This record gives sequence, structure tokens and C-alpha cells, in this order.
Amino acid sequence: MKRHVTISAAIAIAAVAGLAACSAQPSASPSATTGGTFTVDMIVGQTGPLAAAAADFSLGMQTAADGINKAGGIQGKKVVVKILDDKSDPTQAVTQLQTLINSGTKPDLVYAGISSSETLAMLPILTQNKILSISQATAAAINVPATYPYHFGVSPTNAEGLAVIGATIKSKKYKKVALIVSNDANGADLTTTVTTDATQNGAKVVDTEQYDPNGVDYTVQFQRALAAKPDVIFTDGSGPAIAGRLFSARATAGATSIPLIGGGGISGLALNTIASADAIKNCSIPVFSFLIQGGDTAEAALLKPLAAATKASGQTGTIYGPGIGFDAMRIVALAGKTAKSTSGADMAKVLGKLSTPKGYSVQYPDGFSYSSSTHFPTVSGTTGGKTLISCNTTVIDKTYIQVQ
Amino acid sequence: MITSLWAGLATGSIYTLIAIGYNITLTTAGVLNFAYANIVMIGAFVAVSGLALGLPIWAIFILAALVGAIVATAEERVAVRFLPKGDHAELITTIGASTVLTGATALIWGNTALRVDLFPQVPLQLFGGSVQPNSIILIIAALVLGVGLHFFNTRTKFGLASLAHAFDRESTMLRGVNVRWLSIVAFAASGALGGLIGPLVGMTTTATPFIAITLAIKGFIALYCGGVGSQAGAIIGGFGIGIIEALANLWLGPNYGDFAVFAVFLAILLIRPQGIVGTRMLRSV
Repeated sequence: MKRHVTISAAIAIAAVAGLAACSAQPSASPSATTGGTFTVDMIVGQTGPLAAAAADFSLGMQTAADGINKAGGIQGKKVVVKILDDKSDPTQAVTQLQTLINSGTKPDLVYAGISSSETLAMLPILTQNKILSISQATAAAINVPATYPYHFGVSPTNAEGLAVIGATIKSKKYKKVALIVSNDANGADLTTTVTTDATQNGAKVVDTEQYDPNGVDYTVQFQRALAAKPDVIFTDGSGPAIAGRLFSARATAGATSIPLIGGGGISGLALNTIASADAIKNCSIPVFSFLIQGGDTAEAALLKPLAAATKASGQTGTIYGPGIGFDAMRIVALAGKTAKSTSGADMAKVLGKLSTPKGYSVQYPDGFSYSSSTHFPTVSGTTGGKTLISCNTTVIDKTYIQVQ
Repeated sequence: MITSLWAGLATGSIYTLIAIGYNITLTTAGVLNFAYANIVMIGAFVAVSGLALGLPIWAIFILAALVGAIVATAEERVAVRFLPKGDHAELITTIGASTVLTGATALIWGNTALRVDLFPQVPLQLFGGSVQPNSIILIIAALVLGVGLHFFNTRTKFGLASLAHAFDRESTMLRGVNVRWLSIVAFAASGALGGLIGPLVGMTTTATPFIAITLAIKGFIALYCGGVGSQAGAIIGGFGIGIIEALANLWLGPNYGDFAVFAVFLAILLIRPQGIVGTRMLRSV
């Protein structure tokens, strides 16, 4: 029996790989820009560790698309948003994209993944096929307009989004910083960013630990970081599952007495639903004002449909992810309107010198701009439009957070 | 180092519990149920719902076990029962069941992670290391269940009949044993166990549908390292892998845990393919 089971188990493992490959086929029929439609293909992980984030971003994209369609679409074309599941895996993302292109129909816009690894994997193919793409991935390697002229970031790069952390290191007079980041492209970029921030503000990174996003327990990483006796620990993780395990490990390792600063991946989460009060004490996160209830009344009208959609969705996150998707879709619509064209090349050209008007973006209500040298949002000031708040927050109406 | 050792024992206890669940259906119905880790996660989500409804903890565990038993029984009926015996096609259909259960879990409870807050988690200081109370419970549960089921399989009439069924279905039927009933009982029992431990596992991992595949793979490695069909082997394999993973992470670096586990797995397959406590001989019952 055992011999048969062993052989069959090997076949089964091969079948798992086969099933994974088979399920990489598009979940929706290939899209086409015909009959007055502007087709958006979101290649994101509907399953896998980034599924919750993908659901949030797609909710925002769809909500924005509904509003754009009500106003006549993009250059008269109805926006149709489709989602292709890449299982939060860069390899699957490339397979999905290649299958889509090989089907003979080119999308007008691709939302290229949630993680930097997914985005970086897809960018060469997107560029080769001159397809306009956008994503919230923040690694600096993505922001190379000369190499990837058709891609634009909707979130600030780590360097800009985490600028507030550098300011905090300086004001709190931290001298030793430990990092706990994922073992992927985003983790590598965060390491570079925070190391630069720390150095520029008189501190030194004394330890860098990496974790596998699919891991079960991260206690050892915190324990190794503690051994370096840091003044502050920086960590980040995409999605609530990873964040929950990070905070649980922090409590287990006895690291709650050391201040912790979270990154962008953690900042939009309802932390009190995924971690204990003990695990999130002595912790702070950088957030956009639109995430905080009453944070910016000027955004209230813009946020109203998004807040309603977020609340009605039943998702247990906050308005943060939907806000990013919302901005992504609206930025592209603005480019189409300005370019008076839906061609990827025309819109990319316009986006490369676009400045959003006041009150257009939920992340940057005062406006932001792209340029020929940076395809990520640039804002004035030193904090990247973010504020550092306590991790001890409560989520209101599954939408906004309130600092306790 | 002691804290890392505790962390290794804690994750090892989860791998052990998954391997034990595999063994229950394997030694009773001859089926390796790849969807078992999904049933564990369903138990975790049931606990989240139970807590939201204000149910007492004992009721949450009973409900989670009940739901686990029902789901596993349904899986046996749909994905296992009508397949031809002997070619282990169940390995493929239970993978399918795993995919379906992952999707169903995400549809019912959402694809985000949820905290399972059954009782306060204040780290304890034991033998010079820090460990969560829930981890201690998981470690004890894995040991008690593994040892208990080992004796159940080898010392009771039902356990021996189950082994006989797994080894030779036709001969067992000729001796008057109701093998269909055995198969249902095996799946229901493993499902109840999976549901029962689900809330405790969820306290460590959070309740999230997509962690199941990681647990399933590590549980599978634990099963083969220890020896297929042996609950004692599941304990050795599960805890061994957990400790190797944690200590490799501590001493070699956080990216070496998985490498170390798969290196050990490969070495055992090459040197002792029957597993640490497994035997090449066919079991006589």
C-alpha cells in the first residue's frame, strides 16, 4: 500500500503543478477593445496571500469605473474591468498576461499585480507590447521611465511614502534600526529605502531579517532582530494574513518594548482585527489622511461613493486599498480625457507630464504630478503626504480608522 | 535559542496535527486526504463566527468539530466514494476538494485574515524562552493525539479492522467488515479532529483560507519523513521539521528554514524511503 501511495503521491504533486498551470488560464474570456469599450485587465491574486489586497483594489477600480461610465466613459468608451487571477505569484502573472496577449486582443490598460515582484515580472512584456499599465507596487526598480515608458505607479515609491519614517528617526533620536521585511523585490527595496532614510537621519541599520510571505511563524526573525539591540524595528507585510503573523511573532518574541514602525503594506489594515492589543502596542504606521475618519473634510464628497461601496462590500479591511484602485482608474481616465485618445502610447505621453487638479485624487487631495524622470506620484513636502499614527486604531463602518 | 526552539515546537505541532489527520484516513480508508488542512482552516473560521455570535469556548470547539465532520463526510461522498479502488485517484480528487474548499471558505468568510481570539495570549516564560499559551496547548494536543491514535490503531479491534481495510479492502469485506462504513467513519473522525484543532491553529496563523496549502505541504513532508501510516512517525516528522526549520532560520538565516526542511526530506527519501519509523514490510493484521 505504502509503495503505491508514495508513487501516487508523487503523481499528485505533479498534478498540483499541472492544476496550477491549468488554472492560470483567464477566468474571463479574453477582452477586446471593440464596440466602444475601454478594457481594463487586472492581473492580481484573487487567491493567495495577497487576495485581500487584490479584492480591495479591484473594488476601488470598479467603483471609479462606474462613476466614469456614468459620466460618459473614457472618450465615449465604456470602461469594462476584468480580473485575471495570478494567485499572487509572479510566474502566474506572466502566464496570464502572455495568454491574454496571445489571444490576439490587447487590453487598453493592465493593472499589473499587487506586489512589486508581480509588477516587475510583467513589465518587460507590457513594454514590448506598448500596453499602458498601472499598479500600486512601490519598488524603485519599477520607476524607470526610460525602460518602462508605459507604466505608472499610483502609490508613492517606498522612498517617498516612507519619508515620514526618516523624519521620525530624526525626531526620536533613534540610532539603531532593525528591519524585518519580505524576501522579495519589495523587501529588497524597503531595505534600501529605510537604510537610506536611517543613514540620512543619523541612524544605522544594525540588522536586516527577511521572511517568507508564505511562512507560518516569524518569531525567529524578531528574536534575531532583538539580538542586535535596536532602538526601533521597521517591518512591513502585504495583506492582513502576513501582518497578523508578524504581530503575533512580535508578541511571542517579547519585542513589544521596542518601538515598531510599520510600512505601507501594514498601514491600511484594520490592525485590531488581526492582532492582539499587546502585539500592536508601542507601534506606529504611516497613513494617508483619507484613511482617517474626518482626516480631510475636503475629500468628503470624493470619498462618498467609495466609502459606500467599501462598506457595502462586506470586506473587512478599510478604505485604503479601494482608495488606491479608485485613484488608479481615475488617473487613467484623466489621461484619456487630456490626450483625447485611448491609445496606450498617447495616454502614456500625457501621463508623463500630468498634474492632477486639487480634489481629484483621494490619496493626494492637494494634487500630485508625474514627470519624464519619475512615473510615480510626486508631492511637495517631506512626508510624502502621510502622517505617522499609532497602530492602536479602531475601524469604523469597515471604512475609516480612528486613532485610539 | 530557547524561544526559537519553542517556535519550532509550536509550528512542528501544527505540522504533526496535519500529518495525524492524513494518517487517520490513510490507515483507515486508504486515502491521503489533501483537503485536510482546509478543514482545519474551516474550524478556525467557525471559531471566528462563534466568537462573533458570543458562543462559549466549549460550544465553539464542538461546533467546529461538527462542521469539520460534516464537511469531511461530504468530501468522502463526493470526491472519494465513487472512485475505483486501488489506483489512488483520490489523491487528485482530494486536491480538487481542497481547491473547492479554499474557494468556498473565501466566499463565506472573505479572503482576508481574521484573528481567532479565543483567550488572551500573554507570552509565558518557560525554561528561559518565551512561548504563547496557545502554542503549549497545540504541542500537548499533538503529542496526546498522536500517542493516543497510535495505541488506538494497534490495540483496538476497530483500529485493526481499519488497518486491514487500508491494506486489503476485498479481504476485509470477505471477513464481514462494512468497509463503506469504515471509510465514512474515518473521514468524519478526521474532519472532526481537523475542526476541533482548527480554532487553536487559527490562533497561531490567523484564520485565512490561503494558508491551507502551506500547511498541507509541510504536513505531507512530516508524514513522509516520519513514516506513512505511523502516528508515532507523524509526531517525530512534524516536530522534527518544525525544529529544523526554526533552528536553521536562527543559526543560518531566515531564508534557510525551507531549504533545510527540504534537504532533510530529500535525504530521508534517499536513505530511508519508508520514513524514520516506517517499515518496508507490509503490515500484517
